[in-house]
Amino acid sequence: MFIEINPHDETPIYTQLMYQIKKNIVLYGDSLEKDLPSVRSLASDLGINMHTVNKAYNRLVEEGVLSKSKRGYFIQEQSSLIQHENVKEAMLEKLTQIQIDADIYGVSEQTISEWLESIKIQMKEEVEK
Amino acid sequence: MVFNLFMVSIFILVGIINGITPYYSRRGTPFGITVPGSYQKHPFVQKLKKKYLVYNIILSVVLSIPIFFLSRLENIETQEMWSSVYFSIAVLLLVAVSFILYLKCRKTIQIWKNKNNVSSDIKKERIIIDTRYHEELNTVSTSSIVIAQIIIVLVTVGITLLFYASIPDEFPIHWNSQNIPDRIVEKSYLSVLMMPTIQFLLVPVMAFSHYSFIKSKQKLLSNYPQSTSKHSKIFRRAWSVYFLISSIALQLLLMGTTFYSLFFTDDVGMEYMGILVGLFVFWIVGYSLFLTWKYGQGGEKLVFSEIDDFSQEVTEVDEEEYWKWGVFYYNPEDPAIFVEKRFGIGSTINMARWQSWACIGGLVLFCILIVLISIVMV
Repeated sequence: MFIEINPHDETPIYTQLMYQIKKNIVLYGDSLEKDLPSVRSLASDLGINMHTVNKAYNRLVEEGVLSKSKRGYFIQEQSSLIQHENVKEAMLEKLTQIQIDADIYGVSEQTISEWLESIKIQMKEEVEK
Repeated sequence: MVFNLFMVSIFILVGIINGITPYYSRRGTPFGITVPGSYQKHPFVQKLKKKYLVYNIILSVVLSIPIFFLSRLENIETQEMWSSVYFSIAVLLLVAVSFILYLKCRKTIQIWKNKNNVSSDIKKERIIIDTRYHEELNTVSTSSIVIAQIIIVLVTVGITLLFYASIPDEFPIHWNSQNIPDRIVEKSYLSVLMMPTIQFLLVPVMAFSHYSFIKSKQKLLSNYPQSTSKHSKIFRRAWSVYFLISSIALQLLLMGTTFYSLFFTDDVGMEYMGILVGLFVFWIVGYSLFLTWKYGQGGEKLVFSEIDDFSQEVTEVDEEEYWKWGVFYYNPEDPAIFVEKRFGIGSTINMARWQSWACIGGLVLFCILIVLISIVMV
């Protein structure tokens, strides 16, 4: 899988890394190799601190997206992904933020739906490339 | 005369190789200065690269002229002494002046960038990597390079010891420019094993060279990650095979030299040695030039040949602040030890990592060891 990081973005790098991994899982699912590069290898390739990669990997393990064994980190079977309580909390928080912004800037629910649709289409197009 | 022609051609070859470096280095960093995509093929940049090439060739030609005057000295020994003195000075000058030329080119580009407001958009910067890169790299393994060399060393030692009795009581270990032996040593188990010992010490040097190259962190063009990943792997594989063959060739050359020195110091043997040396140099220089021409740095040449339209959606992260003079990489935030060169072909070290210094220290130690051994054993 390809991981893209924006070093100047406001979003912290470990968050970007988490979502890049999750995005790849969503887009490519079963065709992905299950084993991920080691913390050192990934950190070295990205040129970032090993703690950052460690944090991202471990958070994903907490969320149930990855599993950790002596041999390294692996992508969990998607079917075994249960909705953890903290996942629901995190998503509610983000949705609340979007709702607040939608209200304050007068963005209708329909527009939000349309945006979601275009995002889904964009992601589909990425796979086709 | 042949010897001097040989020396002159080496000088000019070095000048040419130095000079063509900008043409095969990363296009995004000519002379180690970041230049955004739309300006990379700008006539100013192209002209500068040409200037650098021409000046390097002129420099090497100028420095090689005195070699012809040296050949007029009649006494062979005086000629050799002055030749080696001159050669050392000339090589240092070549390196120093070439480097100053390079620094001037850097300055020139920086001034041009400032004058024309050439800058890249920081907001477009992205790091893109392929998580499967190292897994799918599939180069020749470093252990096969070690094993192949060890086999040759063992064969050398084996044959040397097997035919120990046939070795004359004295044998040459150094020849002058006329191929007449000028250092002769007495036969002993220690002295006959000197060369194989050096062969043995070269095994980790060649192995490390290979290892550091294939372990380098990946460097993908942000606009073409799939293409770069594919061609970068091809690039490393090709050079990996070159490393294997070169290590074997080196060991075979040294084995040949050992046997020549111990068993065959006659005219027929010398012809074979000449051919062996010639073939070796031809391979080392010729094939590496071929690989450079074919792939460019990191396989970039193949990537650009595949592209129809040059897109500029995103760019690589500007690392200029971490590259001192464009050639020394110092980045304490980067855990990588071996990185691809910014200017040139191949890899270099991250000087901010202690492991890099350990490797350099180890290499220096090896060089000292090799010199010491050749002194002690004879």
